Amino acid sequence: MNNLRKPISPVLSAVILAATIIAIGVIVLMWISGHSSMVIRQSQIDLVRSEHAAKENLVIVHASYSGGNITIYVINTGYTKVFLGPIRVPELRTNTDYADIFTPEAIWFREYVVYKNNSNADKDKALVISMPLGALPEYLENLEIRSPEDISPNEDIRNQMKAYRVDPYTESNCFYKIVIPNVLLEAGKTYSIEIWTLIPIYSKLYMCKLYTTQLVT
Amino acid sequence: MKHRIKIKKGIAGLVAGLIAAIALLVIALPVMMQYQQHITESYQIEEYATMLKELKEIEEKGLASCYDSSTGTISINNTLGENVIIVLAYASDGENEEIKYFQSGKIIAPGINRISITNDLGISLDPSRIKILKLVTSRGTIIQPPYCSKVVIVISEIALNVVLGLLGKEQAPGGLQSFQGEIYAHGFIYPRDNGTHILIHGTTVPDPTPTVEGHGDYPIAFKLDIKTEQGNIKYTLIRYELGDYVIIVYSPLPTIEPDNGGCYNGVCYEVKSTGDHTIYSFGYSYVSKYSDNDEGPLKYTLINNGYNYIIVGVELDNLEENKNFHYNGTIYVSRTADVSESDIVIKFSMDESNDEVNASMYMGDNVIDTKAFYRKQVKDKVSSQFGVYVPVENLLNIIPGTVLWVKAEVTYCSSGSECITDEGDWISFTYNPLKLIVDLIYRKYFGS
Repeated sequence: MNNLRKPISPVLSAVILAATIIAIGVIVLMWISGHSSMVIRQSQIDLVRSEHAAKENLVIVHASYSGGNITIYVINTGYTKVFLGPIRVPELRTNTDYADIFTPEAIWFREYVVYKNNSNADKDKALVISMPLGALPEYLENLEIRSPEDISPNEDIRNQMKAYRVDPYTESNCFYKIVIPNVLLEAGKTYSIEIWTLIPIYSKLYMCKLYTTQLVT
Repeated sequence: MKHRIKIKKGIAGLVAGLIAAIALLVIALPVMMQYQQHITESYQIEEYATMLKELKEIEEKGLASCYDSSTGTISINNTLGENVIIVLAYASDGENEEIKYFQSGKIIAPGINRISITNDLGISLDPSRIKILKLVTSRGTIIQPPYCSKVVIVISEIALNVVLGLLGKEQAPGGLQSFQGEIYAHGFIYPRDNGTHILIHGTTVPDPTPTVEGHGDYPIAFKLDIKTEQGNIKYTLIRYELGDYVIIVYSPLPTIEPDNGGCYNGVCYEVKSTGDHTIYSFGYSYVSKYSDNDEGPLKYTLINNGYNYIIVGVELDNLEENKNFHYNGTIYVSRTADVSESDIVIKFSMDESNDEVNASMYMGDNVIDTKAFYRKQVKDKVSSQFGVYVPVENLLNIIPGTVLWVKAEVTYCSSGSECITDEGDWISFTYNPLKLIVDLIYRKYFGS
């Protein structure tokens, strides 16, 4: 009789059981939630980016080459601001350098400038924004950069990007002129021009949309 | 006693499980909701992007243009039925370039517009030396008018509602060239040949089962897809509209077969050829589409000139449906904008489920035999169109340049008993038959 143990109260056992299930559930869900919040954040970035890309309506009017400069006229016929990021002319790539990549104020590789209307004056340059980089691997892949160190040995530089702000013509009452200076192109050849727009999300600049055009010299 | 303890344990376990399940649900719900929101928004964004793309495509297709370098004039035929605004113009002679921005925009009204690049656009380059000309609309569409050929000038002078596609001497230095590619036309067309050359002219009708490739399952009415052997000159025009008018002279002779798809009470043909062609003359008149802005089944009233007749018709607003339609309607063609005094009244009906078509034309109490044409809707691609052949010159004894009034109304009955009638406005249309230019071209290549 003494060997018999007193049974635990059914209520107590139920409480222990519920607590155990909840504790395990919470741990599992916290892990899922942590993972999910990362996925959700990324999906929110993708959503904002897709939405912006859908609403963007930048028109490349014409690209021409004269006096060693490439000139590209663009107009923003959408209703949202467009941020011009890196420009590529893939045919200019050589094995030894990145002569095909141009960025605002030469933050990476070579420089290009954006003016309002047909001006060439510094006072008429479009506004430049500077922000930390979002998703470096996307930049590396899309611009065909082999290694981050190729951008700059300085980590601060390669983690930063700049963009020219191009306002809708309905707000700014103007079109824009992109000038890529000091480029040597061969006569009678067709070059492709790739213009990447960027989008600031959570104070970082992500790649948004690719516009392409052709230039016949 | 044991039994009661077991019941208590069971109930307690059940309660515990319930509490745990609720707790899990409360934690998981926001995550699931966020995922759901992501999916929904992604779809909405995709739809929005598709809509913008389609709007641009419609604008591109609805603006036919050409540039006459001898006068420095751009002719634009706006068949969209609404104003289009030009915000930017770019011109280059190969050495110098000019770009002009228009703060308040230049309006391109429905119908033919003639724009002087000097006076209207403010471009100071020598018009005869301009090689590149681009106009940008407020929607972001780029219009790049090709050079107008002599044919275009003649036709646009005679028939004011026409702007044509072309292959002019400026685009084909050295004259007419040999092109490789495809020529296809279907509809109420007249083929005439002299053994080596063929002249094809007439009203095009989309073929429900085209034997050429177009854009998916679209019913094609006309296709010209050609390029020179070197590939330096390319020209592509693919049309899906009912009521366009085509004039083309080329060799060698094509395959011609009767094909009454989309045609009622008249013989239609399918003309097709592939390979090497020499094109001597080409003109194309887009059917004018006048938008009906109110709610209802009538989307556009369609009008175009023919050889010595006009085509009047309707386009229905039915892309969201996924079934065959039954509709009927009335079209008034008159010299006065008054239903009670209308010269010609056309009654028509269409049952798309069995292609049962009826079209009757009345002048007072007289019933006149007529021909009708139709395009059945293809879901998410093209909506239903119905057109009627009206030999106005014979019936009304009118001369070119006479102003006619056209009004259309459509009644659409859904699968239930409910019917909706939609009435369009009176539209003023100038009768400019194409017979003068067709006969001129015929005499040029085939003699009298």
